[in-house]
Amino acid sequence: MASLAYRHHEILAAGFRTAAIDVDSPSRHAAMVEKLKLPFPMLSDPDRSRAIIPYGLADHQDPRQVALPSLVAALSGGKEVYRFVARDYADRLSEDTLVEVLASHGLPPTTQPPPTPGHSEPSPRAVPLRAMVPYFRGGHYAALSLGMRHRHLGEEFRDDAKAFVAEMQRYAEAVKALRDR
Amino acid sequence: MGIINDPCGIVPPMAIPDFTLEDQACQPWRLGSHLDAGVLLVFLRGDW
Repeated sequence: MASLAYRHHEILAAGFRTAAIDVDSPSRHAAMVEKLKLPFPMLSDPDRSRAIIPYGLADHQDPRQVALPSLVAALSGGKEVYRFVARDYADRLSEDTLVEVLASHGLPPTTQPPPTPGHSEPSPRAVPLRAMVPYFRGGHYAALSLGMRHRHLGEEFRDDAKAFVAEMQRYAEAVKALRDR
Repeated sequence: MGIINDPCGIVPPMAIPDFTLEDQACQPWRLGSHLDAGVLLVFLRGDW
């Protein structure tokens, strides 16, 4: 989310507004918007019935059937033109690829009002902003060492580890940039 | 890498389902009201 917030101006320049959706409550979302200074709204689909299931994005491997991390892009008017569905909760599309895909549709730049603040009640399990860089750094070094230790498993594994290392780096950089704003 | 689908390249684009959800300020947010521009929906796992 921090990395999407950091690149939001490029998403708007490509003609797309952003909204994030998960099962959490508005008060949890208000806390997330406040913590990460998100420039787009977060929406609640607590029983998954309004968006997560109709979009076919419930994770059937998860007992709660929360959403698989996914991106769905639609042109003005509502025609879907792009969809990325993660294999699991750690799988993400790079922001560079996302911005390139969105820009390829040639939409005029758009704007988006900042999200209205709400009553903020963070999850007791939420990672505070000050701990997010060390958190991603830990993920970075764990992926790096696992990638090296198990590189004999083949090219696909090495590419996967490399992608995850890069992902952790991008997230840490995005959090640093947001923290300094 | 996850599954990437570009419907433009395979089949005619489909209309995405409309919905109304509560935003972080408990205000209703209807997708259809924002489709005068492109829209990027970011689905998250949540429940951390």
